[in-house]
Amino acid sequence: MFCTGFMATFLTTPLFARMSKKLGIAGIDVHKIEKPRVPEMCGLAVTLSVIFSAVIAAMVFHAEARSVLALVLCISIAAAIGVADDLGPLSSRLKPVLTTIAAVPIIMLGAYSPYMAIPFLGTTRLTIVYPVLVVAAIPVLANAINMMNPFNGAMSGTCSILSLAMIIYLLLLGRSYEAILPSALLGSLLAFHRYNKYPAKVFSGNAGDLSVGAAIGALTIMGRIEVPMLVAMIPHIANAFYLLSSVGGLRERREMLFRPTRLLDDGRLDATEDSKAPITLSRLILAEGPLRENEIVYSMIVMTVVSSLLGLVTLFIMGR
Amino acid sequence: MPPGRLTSLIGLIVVVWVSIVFGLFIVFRVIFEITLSWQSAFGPIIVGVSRAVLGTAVGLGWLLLWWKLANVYLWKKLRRPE
Repeated sequence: MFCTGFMATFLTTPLFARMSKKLGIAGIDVHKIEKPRVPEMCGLAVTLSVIFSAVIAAMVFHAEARSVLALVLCISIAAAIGVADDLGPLSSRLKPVLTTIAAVPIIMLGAYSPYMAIPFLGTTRLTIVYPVLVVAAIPVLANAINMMNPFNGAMSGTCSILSLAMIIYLLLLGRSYEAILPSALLGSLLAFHRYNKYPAKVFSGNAGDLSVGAAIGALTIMGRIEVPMLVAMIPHIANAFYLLSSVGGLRERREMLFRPTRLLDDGRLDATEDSKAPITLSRLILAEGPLRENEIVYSMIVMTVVSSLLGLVTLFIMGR
Repeated sequence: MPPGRLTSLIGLIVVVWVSIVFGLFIVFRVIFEITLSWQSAFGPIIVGVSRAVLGTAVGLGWLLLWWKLANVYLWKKLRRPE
């Protein structure tokens, strides 16, 4: 499944780039001095590759049809919301509300287990609370991934680590069968990273970010690895929390009057010293001094590796 | 990138993780174990409300701690010598 996801994304991303260019769907790479225009919405290649791989998994490996259908519908809905946001920006309040719809297939198809393992408590039955958690988790994770992606390769790099962490957790739990779908996601993200890494030839767009975030959320719920994955996603969740708390609620990047970072004449990025600028992970990384864009993304990837290892420690604390 | 540049940020992640694990321990091993030493008709209600209030307090404590940590880190590092 890893190879299917990898090859499908590797072959379709250039097609999406060409199509976006033809349709004039391009974003400005604001962190470069020359401000190049880069094809947007190419993350849809990852979405379609994961859907394609999931269907293959259902046919070849007889992966549970209910889980496959829930995943396909969940990421398709998230991608559709992302496309709508890429083409005509959605309001900062409407986007998270709409992404809750992506959680509906998981609940309606019953592709979850209400038995949740919690450290120091053991396995608890959350028949009523769990569906509410699912409705909250999908938009939170999808938008947290979306907020973490202002730099070339940040989404594809950090989400590749999260997918790998998911596979390792499931293998350690002896659920190799459930690691099939995360393998497809890992393959797709690694292939996409080749095009999205610094200097980016393609942008994933909100369509790609939201669908990858929804995929990670859905696979976490289906794999019953909620707490370790929550720990693995500390950098993403912390970034979203700091950003939202510092701007006082839901705001889109374009709505922010003060920027957390600024581009220097030598092409490096630095943290702004304005007290009204939002606090983000990138601003925290740059607080110690200017860095190149690829060094910021490298820092984000290292932090995700560390949090994924802490997720592993959490898994052992939980005694599973 | 200078080696060791990420050390303090990784430290921040570890502190957040420790606070989550410690907070979960407090919630499930201390707050959830609260019982009343006297018998009363309102006993279960008092215990339930106390658990909910204390659990929420731990949650708010987490958020406050993370917010303070990020702020202290940012402004301490931003006031770097030229």
